[in-house]
This record gives sequence, structure tokens and C-alpha cells, in this order.
Amino acid sequence: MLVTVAVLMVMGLGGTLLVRTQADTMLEDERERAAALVESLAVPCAISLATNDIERLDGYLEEVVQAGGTHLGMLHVTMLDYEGRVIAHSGPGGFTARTDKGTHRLPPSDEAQTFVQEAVQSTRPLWRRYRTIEGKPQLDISMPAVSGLRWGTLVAGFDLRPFEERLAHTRTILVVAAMAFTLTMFLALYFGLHRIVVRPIKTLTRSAKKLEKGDLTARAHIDSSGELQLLANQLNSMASELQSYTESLEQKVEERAAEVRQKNHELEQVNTRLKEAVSKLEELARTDALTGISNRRFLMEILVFELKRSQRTPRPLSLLMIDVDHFKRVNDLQGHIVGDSVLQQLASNLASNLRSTDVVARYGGEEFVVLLFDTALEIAIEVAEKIRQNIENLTFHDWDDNVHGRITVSIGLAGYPNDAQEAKELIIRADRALYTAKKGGRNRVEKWGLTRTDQDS
Amino acid sequence: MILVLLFAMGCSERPQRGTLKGGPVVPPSPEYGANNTLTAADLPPGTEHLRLGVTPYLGPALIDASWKPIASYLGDQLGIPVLLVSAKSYEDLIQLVAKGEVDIASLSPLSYVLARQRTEKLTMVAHELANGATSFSSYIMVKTDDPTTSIYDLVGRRIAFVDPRSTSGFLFAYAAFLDHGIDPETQFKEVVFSGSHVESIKLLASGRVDAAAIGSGMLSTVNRDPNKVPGMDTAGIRILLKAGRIPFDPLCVKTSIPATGVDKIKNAILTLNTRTSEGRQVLSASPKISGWVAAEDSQYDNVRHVLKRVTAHRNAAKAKQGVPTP
Repeated sequence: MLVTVAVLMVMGLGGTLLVRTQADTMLEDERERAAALVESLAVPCAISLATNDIERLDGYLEEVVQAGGTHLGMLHVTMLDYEGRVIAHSGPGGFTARTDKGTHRLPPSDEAQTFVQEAVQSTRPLWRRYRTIEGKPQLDISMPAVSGLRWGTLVAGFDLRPFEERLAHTRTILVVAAMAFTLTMFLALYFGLHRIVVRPIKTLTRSAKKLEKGDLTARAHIDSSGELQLLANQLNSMASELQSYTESLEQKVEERAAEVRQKNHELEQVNTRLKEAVSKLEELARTDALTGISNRRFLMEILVFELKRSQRTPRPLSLLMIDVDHFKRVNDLQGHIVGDSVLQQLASNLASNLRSTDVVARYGGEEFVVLLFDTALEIAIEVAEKIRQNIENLTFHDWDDNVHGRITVSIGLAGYPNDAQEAKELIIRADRALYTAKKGGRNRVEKWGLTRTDQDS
Repeated sequence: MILVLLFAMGCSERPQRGTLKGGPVVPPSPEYGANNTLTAADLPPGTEHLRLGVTPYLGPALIDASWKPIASYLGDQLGIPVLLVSAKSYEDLIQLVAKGEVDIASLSPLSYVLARQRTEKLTMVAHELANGATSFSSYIMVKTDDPTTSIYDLVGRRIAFVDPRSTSGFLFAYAAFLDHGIDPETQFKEVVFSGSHVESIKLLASGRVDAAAIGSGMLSTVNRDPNKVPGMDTAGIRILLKAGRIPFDPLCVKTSIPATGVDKIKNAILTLNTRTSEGRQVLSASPKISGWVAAEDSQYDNVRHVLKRVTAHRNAAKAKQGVPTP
């Protein structure tokens, strides 16, 4: 803005100078023209004066102003002799010529008199520009009248109104031209500056801001030359470096993350395998290898756990101790393989005929235990009887699927909390009942308590 | 913009004045009222008076009438009697000058050049202003009713020159004929030397000749004041050709007069002009003289040049005719 104002000021001053110079030049031309006219008039006037041809001279001056005045712009002309006396003039009115004590008819104002006196003294043509009392612009020209000698001085007045009209016209044109020029220059400068400086700077700023906000793809596209282009190029190369650096950084981070993910994945797999192994191990730990049902260890865990829980909220639990009758005979007569098969089929039958919540476990050898949760002893007896009958009616197959015979089981029962408070005790009580059942002839169900006294004793 | 307008408006209102370039060259004014009285130191020993010789361009009577007041003025200025010596002819004055028998001489330009050829003892102090002009031309005149339309029509006719020593009345007119390829020696029916400009006009007006060469100032002189030149009829003649431009008659002083004396004579003659009332009185009897201005010998170089051409031509012509060259 400051630059614009300064430019306008300079242009304004330049325009003023131009107008003034033009006005001065025009005035000088006008003066030269008027002076040339008077100078050409001065020679014949000098000759007329030399030959004392006053009437001719006077008429001559009058004719020049009358005939050519309008065209030449000459308002009046006066001939003074070398001593400054008015000898002849174009205007009306008398004058005295060629008398040594003549009446000096001089122009009215002091200024005019001064001018005329100076003109008579001066060896050079003089001019003055002034306004009449009526305000009309006039130009006076004085010219020595020389022919061999200086015979006198011509003073002529010119109307400057046409000149001033021309001047005003020219000035208007010049002012308008100067304004147009200034405006054009201003616009050119403005848009030029805008295009060359402001726009590139804006572009630069925008790009820099984008970069600042993290948009590393931002680039300053400047169609310019010089420092701004240099600046833009530097900004762009900086941005490029920043971008490539950031990208490589991100790539490295991504690589590391992928590695971590890979490791996690591997770890998860290991973990899964581990869990699987653990659960397998756990299952193995509580499963009987031969029959696939729970083993004694798991049975004990469950039993202890359930009994502890039952102590807080008393729920009945019955334990069935099942033993295959004369299993030694099967093993001895038909081999361990058949024995094992019998045990497997038995376990399978037990598991399939019980509630899923009930637990069937191989207690050892040909002994099985069934835990019936939330089951009172009376119901458990029925369940045990059902198991006994079921097995009694079951046909066992050998490993070749050949029917090889039937077996029976003896079952001893004990119930919590009536028969025992602890696991070990419960098992012992059930085992006692089993013993009673064995003693009682096998293939039968016996519960603890009926023979309590015997058994205790 | 407002500034511009204010400046532009403002500059036209101030009254201005100044000096212009160009204009005529204004010669220095002579010293009016200076003491020009010649002392013994300003003059050759034993000088009792000064003799003023004048070319008889108007004829002796008119010369006497117009030059006596001038001689008188000079006498008053110089404080020594100035006697007017009327030469009978142009050649007569040249001889007087060459012999040193006049102290001051108003010679025609050609006479001056010729006199300078014969004697170096001659100093030019001024030349005449005639009818307000510094120089003049040679006119070849014919009668108004003469059918002549160009200078070529004059071939085979009668022509009047003033004097072989006249500048405008002979030399420049002669050169003009030569310029137009006319040989005045052979191509005219008759060549007359009248002796003065007035006489030439008379010969033309009376029909004695068909054309006459005279100085340009003469016609206006006689036109303006016919009474000064009795017996003239200029209404019936016209100008056929204008030739050359010649500075007016130089005023010379013989070099035997000391420089201080020459300066006084020079200043005295330069103060005599129609600018002053005294000058107008003194010169009122002269049909043409307006005054004198300072002059230089080189102003007459053109006259010398023309003279050389014309002389060469005339000598050649005389040689052809078997007339011995002077």
C-alpha cells in the first residue's frame, strides 16, 4: 500500500512536471511566434522611422493590428524612438512625435511603464505576461527596431486567450493522459506485483501452512523467477525431504509392527498349542486311560470339592461303588484283552445310562464309582438297582465282536450327609456296603447302614 | 490527481516577464555630445581645414545642396572648417583620394574598392544609411509601356549606365547581364554613361535610351521628394531586374590623419543621423541619407569579387577590339 501511494505520488509529481513543462514550452512557443511577428515588423518600422516617414509608420501599425490583428492575435503595437518617445501606435488618440518636448503617451499602469522603459533600454527583446484590469490574459513583446542603427523599439500586445484555451485543452488532455497512464501503471503494478510477488508469497504461505499441519505432499507451484522461485524450490525440496523421511520412518514403524504382529501370532499359536496341551494334559490327568472315563484322582477331586460345597449349602449326594463280579475269572480264563474290553464296555454303558451331571469314574482294577449329585440315598438305590439289572442283561462282546458272555456287578452305596461327612469316609462306607453285597452273594445292591452294626464291628 | 490539477492551474496565474532569445543585433550607440574637437595632435601639422570629397551620384548641384550641411555639421563637431570638394566624376574623386587631395571622402562602394587599389592610405570609418536601409541593389529600369518582359529582351537595344565607377549604376548591372549570358560590350545597340543616377533616369524617361541601370534608393528618393530632383518623371518607368545587394557608400579618412583624429571624425559622423532632431535638420536637404554606421572593409569584398569578373570581361573585350587595356 505504501509502495502504491509512493508510486502514485511520484507519478502525480511527474504528471505535474509534464503539464508544467508542456505549459512552459507552449508559452515559449507563443512568445517566439509573437516575437518573430514583431521582429519582422520592426525592420520596416525602423526604416520608416529613419526616413522620418511617421504617417506611413503610424498607418502601417494601425493596418497591421486592424487587418491582421484578429488572425495574429495582436491587440496593439506602439513604436517608440530610441529615446523612448512614442512615435506611432495602432490605437486611436493623438500623440506627439518628433518633438523634443513631446507628450509621452505611455501605457497606463506603472508596471507597463516600467516594462516599456526597460524595453527601450534593453538591447534584447523582452516579454511580459499579465492580466489586464478586466482580467484578460495578455502578452507584451518588445523588440529593438534596428536598421544599421537602433531606431527605436516596438512594443506589441497579444491576446493570450486563444493560447490559454489551447493550454487548458492541452492541460486537460495531459491530465487525462497522465491519469490514464497512472491508472494503467497502477493496475499493471498492482497486478504485476500481485502476480510476481503476492501470489507466489500466498502460495508459499499456503504450502508452508499445509506442511506445518502435516500435509507433506504440499508443494508451492510458482511460475516465477528470481528469489521467490528459489524460495519455493527450497521449500519444495525441504518438503520432499521431510516427506521421504517421514515415509521411510512410517515404513520402518510398519515393518516393526508387522514383526510384532507376527510374533504375537506365533505366540498365540504357541499359547493355543500350550492350552491345548494343558487341557489335554488335564484331561489325561483326570481320565482313565483304558476306559476313557474319569479316573480315581479326578473322582477324588470332584468328591472333595462337591462335599465342601455341600457343607455350605447342604445337598444330598450318593456314591455308588461298583465291582465286577468274578472279574479275576474273566481275566484268567479269557485274557486281559477281553478283560479290558469288558471294562471298557462296562464304563461306556455306565456313562451312557447316567445323567450328564453324574460322574462315572474307574476307581481301580474292576472297581467303578458313580457319583449322583443332588440324589438322596433312596433314589440312588433305585439307580443302582437299575445299573445292576442293566449290566446283568447286557451282552458283552469280545474284541472281534463275538458275543462271549454276561457279567454281573455288585454295588455298594453310601450317602452324604447321612452316612459320612468326608470323601474318604464316604468311599470307605460305600466300599463296606460293596463288601456286604459281595458277601451277600454278588449281583446285588447293598447300602451302608443296613448292616451298620456288623460293619462297624 | 488533485495535486496535479492545482499545480497545473496555479502556474498560469503569476505575472511573468523575461528576455527573449534572438532578436536583431543592436549595434552600440555612438557617443552623443562627446567632445570631438580636433586638436593639433589629432591632425597633420599645418592643417587649417579638412576637405570632404563626395561622389557626384546625384549630379554636382544636388550634391552641394545635400552635403554642405553635413560638412558644416562635421566642422562644428570637429572644431575645424570642413570644405566640401565637389568631384566632377566618380573617377575624379578616386584620383583626388589617391592623391591625398581630400581628407575625408564619401565614395561609392566601387569607387572605394578602386581607390583602395590605388592607395593604402585610406581608412574606412563608416558607411552610409540611406532611406533607413543599410544596403541597396542595382535596378535595371525600362519604361512602363516598354514591351520588354525579361532581361533578354534588352539585347540589341540602347542602355544607360551611370559611370564605369558606379556600383549600382554600372558594376552590378553589368555583372547581371553577364550572369544572364548577355555581353554588354557587343550585344547592345548603344551603351551610354550618363554621369549620375538622376541623369540616367532622365535619359530613360525622355526615351533617349531603352533601359537604365540605377541604384535602388534613387527611385524612392525622387519619388518621395520630386522637387529635390527637378526635371524627373519617374511615373513612366518600371523595374525590370533587381541585381545584387551592396552596402551603402563608405566614408573614408586618409591615413595621414592620426588615429585619435580619425576616431573623432568617426564619432562625429556616427552621431549624425535622423534619430536626433539636429541630425534630421542637417540631413533634411539630403534626398536619401539617414545617417552612418560603423563599417568594415570586408563588407565590400563582394564588390571586389564582382569587379574582378567584370574587369576581366571588359579587358578581354577590349583586347578583341584592339584597344589597349588601361
